[in-house]
Amino acid sequence: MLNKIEKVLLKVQKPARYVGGEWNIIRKNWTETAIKVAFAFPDVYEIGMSHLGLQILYHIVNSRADALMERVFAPWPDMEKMMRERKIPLYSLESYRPVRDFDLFAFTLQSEMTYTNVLNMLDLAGLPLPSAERKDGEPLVIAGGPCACNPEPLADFIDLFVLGEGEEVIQELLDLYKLMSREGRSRRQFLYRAAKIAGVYVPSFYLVSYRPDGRIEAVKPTQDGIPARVRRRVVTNFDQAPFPDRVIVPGIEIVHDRVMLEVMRGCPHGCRFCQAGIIYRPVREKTPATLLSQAEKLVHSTGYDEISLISLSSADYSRIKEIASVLLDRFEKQGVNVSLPSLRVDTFSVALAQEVQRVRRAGLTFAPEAGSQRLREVINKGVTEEDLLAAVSSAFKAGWSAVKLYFMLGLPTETEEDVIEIARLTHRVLRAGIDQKVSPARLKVTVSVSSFVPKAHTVFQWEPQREITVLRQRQKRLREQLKGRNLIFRWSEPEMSFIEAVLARGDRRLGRVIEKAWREGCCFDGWSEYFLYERWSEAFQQVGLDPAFYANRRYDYAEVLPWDHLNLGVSKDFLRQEMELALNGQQTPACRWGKCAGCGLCPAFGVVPEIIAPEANEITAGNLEVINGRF
Amino acid sequence: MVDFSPILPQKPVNIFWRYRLQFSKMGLARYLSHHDLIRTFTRAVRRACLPVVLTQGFNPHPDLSYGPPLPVGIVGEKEYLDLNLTRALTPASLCSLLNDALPEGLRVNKAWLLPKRPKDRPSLVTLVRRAAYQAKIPLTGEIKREDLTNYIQTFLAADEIIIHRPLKAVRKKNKKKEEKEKKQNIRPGIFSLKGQVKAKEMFLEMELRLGSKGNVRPDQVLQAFLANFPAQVDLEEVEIIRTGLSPLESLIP
Repeated sequence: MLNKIEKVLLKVQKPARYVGGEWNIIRKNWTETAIKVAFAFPDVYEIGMSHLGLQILYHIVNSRADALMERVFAPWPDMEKMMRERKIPLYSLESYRPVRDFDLFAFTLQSEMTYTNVLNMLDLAGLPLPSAERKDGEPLVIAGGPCACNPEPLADFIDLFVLGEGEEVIQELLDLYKLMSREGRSRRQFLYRAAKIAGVYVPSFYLVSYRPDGRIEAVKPTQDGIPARVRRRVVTNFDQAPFPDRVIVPGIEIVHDRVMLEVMRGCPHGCRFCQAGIIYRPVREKTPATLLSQAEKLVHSTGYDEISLISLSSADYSRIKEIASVLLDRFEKQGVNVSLPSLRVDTFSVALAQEVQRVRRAGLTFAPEAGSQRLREVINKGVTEEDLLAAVSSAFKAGWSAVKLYFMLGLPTETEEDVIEIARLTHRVLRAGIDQKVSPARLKVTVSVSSFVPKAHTVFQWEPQREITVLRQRQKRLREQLKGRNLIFRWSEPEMSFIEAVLARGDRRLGRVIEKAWREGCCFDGWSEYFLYERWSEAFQQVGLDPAFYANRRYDYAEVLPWDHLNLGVSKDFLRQEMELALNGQQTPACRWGKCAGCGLCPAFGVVPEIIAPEANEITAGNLEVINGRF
Repeated sequence: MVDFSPILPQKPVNIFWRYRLQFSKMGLARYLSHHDLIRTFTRAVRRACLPVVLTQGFNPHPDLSYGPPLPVGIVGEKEYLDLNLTRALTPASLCSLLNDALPEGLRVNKAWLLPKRPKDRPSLVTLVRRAAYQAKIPLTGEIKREDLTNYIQTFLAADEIIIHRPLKAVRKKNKKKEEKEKKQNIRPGIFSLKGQVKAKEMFLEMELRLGSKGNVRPDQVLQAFLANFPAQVDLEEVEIIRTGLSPLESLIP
């Protein structure tokens, strides 16, 4: 196989994507290992290799004596063409074996825009697309990741979805697989048993019925013993959760080319548009001792020169200052930097970044999300204009000359006035730069504007997305106001966000559209150079479904949502109540400092936020009593 | 256990030991670009906990300097790089420490301690003038030995061997800029070219000029050489090896 591959490698871009052999890869004895898992990332190598989940699962599965995991990525179109011409099947980077030879073909769904790549990879592997057509002896196709929270559009193609965190459930699945294959059971028998594992959703065991108006009537299990609602998995005692001490270090440059040290999981803030904020609840922090030991092992085993303290909101980690300075002290002598990927909009975060980032390479990024105070209250982004201006001023003062601001267009209740506020705010940020005497030659404010996409399980799950024409017109409006020296305006294609919205709130009937679009050549939809909106539109037409029904319609509170049978732990009543608060511009406190917003997760799942004690010098009578974690 | 807290001297270091390493880049590693190679060695040095001297400045990193880049896909048998250590190591232990930290396909085969005085140890880039290559070309047709010899003689007898290089780099902001085809006479850069046929394979050995001016790549020579070649060849199976850099006597202390 490798010989066949090598013949084409010098005809494609970045051949190193396709040969493996990286530092720290694990190659196990094929014949002596019982269960073979191919981990598939349905995007290009550099993106997939930047995904921490891959490294965690690779570590977990390969730590078992009876299992192995190898990697598969979506070949870039130039390589795909070569593979099809020469009949090279999709293969793994460790042993160059065809995916067909594996027991499990496990996808991670990080974005709706990778769905056509999932189909393409199944096809390149030589597998039938519909799960119903795959036979015993062919790999079981499983999928997890954030998009598994509403996986309905892929329900026809995937045998089994995993809801929530994979660290534990993967072990249970492998144990069951081993047992069942030893007993010579069929894939259907395996799926039936697997469906009883918490967190496992087998779509073929559920029947969806529709009402005449196209909305869902009901989603019901078709067999006895299959749960009516599938519960998301949450890892508890997160501090001790498995974490790799060696990760694969690619030879080519990848997107996150550094040690990714996960300081906490979950986010205490309740931004109403944010899906990650729901699906990673509750907040769970690691202890500084664990982090230091993990960092030590990772720096030594990888040779990376940067440790990124990652999480959804690292500035909220209780002992962020302490861990940052401990790591800096420990590794500075070796030329190893510490970095923070995301900043909260406040001076604390800037001070932290200032302390941590001795090298002011890139600018700082802030995400006020909305331009006006009113709209920020609607989305529960507890940030004021004063916060932002104070934060950017201190950034400029500390020596940064470039800042990036991230906004969303088309948020619920947004008016033209809110859009203008984005421009006004940006000009005030620019003004702050000038006031702080940043050299006009270097001063740069980048405004990045995406379009709001309503997502399943969020407060805004019922909300319509604004029509493409409206989004485009508001972008245009904003572009006109953001011309000028030192200003850079970036936007995303509304057509892309539209397809994303359709798939994010879609039901099973969309499977036919995805398949059609893929057959007509859609692939790498998240890459603007490959995104083919017309083909998608045609696919909707040919299948006879209206995309606006999914993207631009206000879903009714009373209707059955395509994902209602998937229980993420946050109650629907809470989301609805939050929606009412949003419309009134009322804030909901962060899940922190003893305040509980009442999302219902903890009692429903029997979990608690795992918050460590704050920094010693910050303990006051006021915050001592609110430490509700277990440490 | 290896000492795990070595490297950065806080002040500029004047006294250090400079080593030259000879390494090979083969197998899967030949798909790494020169930039990838630099990244890989930098990380390997850190993994090996070598007491390397870090560069001064805002972003200290191990100070390694390399010989001329090897094009992607070409095997390098004897490539070179220089590095500075704050403590002396025997060449053998330097090799073995680093080899334990290098990914497959990369291997340090020899190391030498360079002379103390900087003027006695010019940099690799200034030293290397020529490179020797071997190309293995599978034949799908046939050619007799004397025909090959004659063909090579005729090929080398030309005063000019012109190749056309399409200029790929078009600046984004200046899209009107024409994509000009650049012509290059590669004949002056070919110092020698020999060939032989063994079974179904042809082996070409060549020595070519390296450097910022008049640099000739082996694939360029092959392109010109095979343009009117009488026998059929399988271009996809061509393997090129850079067998060495020269003048050797100046590279190896």
